Amino acid sequence: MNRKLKGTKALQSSVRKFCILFSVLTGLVLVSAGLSFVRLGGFEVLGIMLVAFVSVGIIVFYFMELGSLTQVSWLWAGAGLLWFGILFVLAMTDYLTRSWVW
Amino acid sequence: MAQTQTAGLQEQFEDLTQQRETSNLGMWIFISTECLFFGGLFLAFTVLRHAYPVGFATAARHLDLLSGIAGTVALLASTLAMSIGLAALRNSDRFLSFLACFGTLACGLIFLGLEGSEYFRAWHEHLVPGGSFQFIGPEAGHVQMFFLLYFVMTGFHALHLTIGLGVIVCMMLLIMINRLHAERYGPLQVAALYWHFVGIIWTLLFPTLYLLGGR
Repeated sequence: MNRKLKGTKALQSSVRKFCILFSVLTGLVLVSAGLSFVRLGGFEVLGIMLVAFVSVGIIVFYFMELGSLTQVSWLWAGAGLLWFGILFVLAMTDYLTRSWVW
Repeated sequence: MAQTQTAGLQEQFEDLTQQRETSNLGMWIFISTECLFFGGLFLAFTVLRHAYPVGFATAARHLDLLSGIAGTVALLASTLAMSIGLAALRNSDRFLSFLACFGTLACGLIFLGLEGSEYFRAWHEHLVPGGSFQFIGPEAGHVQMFFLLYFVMTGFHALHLTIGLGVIVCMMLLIMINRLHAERYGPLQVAALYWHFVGIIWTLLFPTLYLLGGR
């Protein structure tokens, strides 16, 4: 009985946490949509993508439970991010510097 | 010969925790390869958007922002429902877990419906790349390029989402026949990881396609 009560409380606490995070994520969607209507000399693009990455961070850390991963899973999650970074940074470095005159 | 003492425990594992951790690792390996798959598409979009900012901004304004926001919120709600479903199963509430999975399914279908209506609108306005594409203006070629990437990126995302919906239906059946419960929630945890990843891709696709050009 005591164990069941404990389980119910844990579930209620999890549901509350997820609902709060959902509200935050929905708010962030509206903020990024709002940012697309303002002109900040290109900084609005930075703002929109920053909001998107914060949202991704919330989903990865809280919904995908990054904190409770085993070390080898951390390694794979990190490797995925690293290779994504290599793909993007190296390709864009090449592309953006082609017009440079030395 | 080794005897399996716990229901659902495969013989190569010591216990259910090890089995669950191994399944999670498999999904994380899959997710990291998917990062590279979608990464290539995002890279192509970034390079072309940098090369043709006016054409891409013009094209982006032809997408329905309200539909995009509604789809994003529906997908976030499905993420919420999926997490509640997993938490409920861990805490022995199979009925709530089943309901939450049903909620995830419903939100996923709403998202697909919204995307379908967006596709229909693009088709109706002759914005589908190919022979029937019609756009008047100097940026017509770049607008067509934007819509090609739009359909490829959202199409692959929708394919992943549809696969996820199938997986959720399987999870609901397993919960119903008591194959998933508080001691054996690993398959639902792996399904949830996949579903959250699909949500993450849309969290990046929405601003990239709908918002970057300004409204």
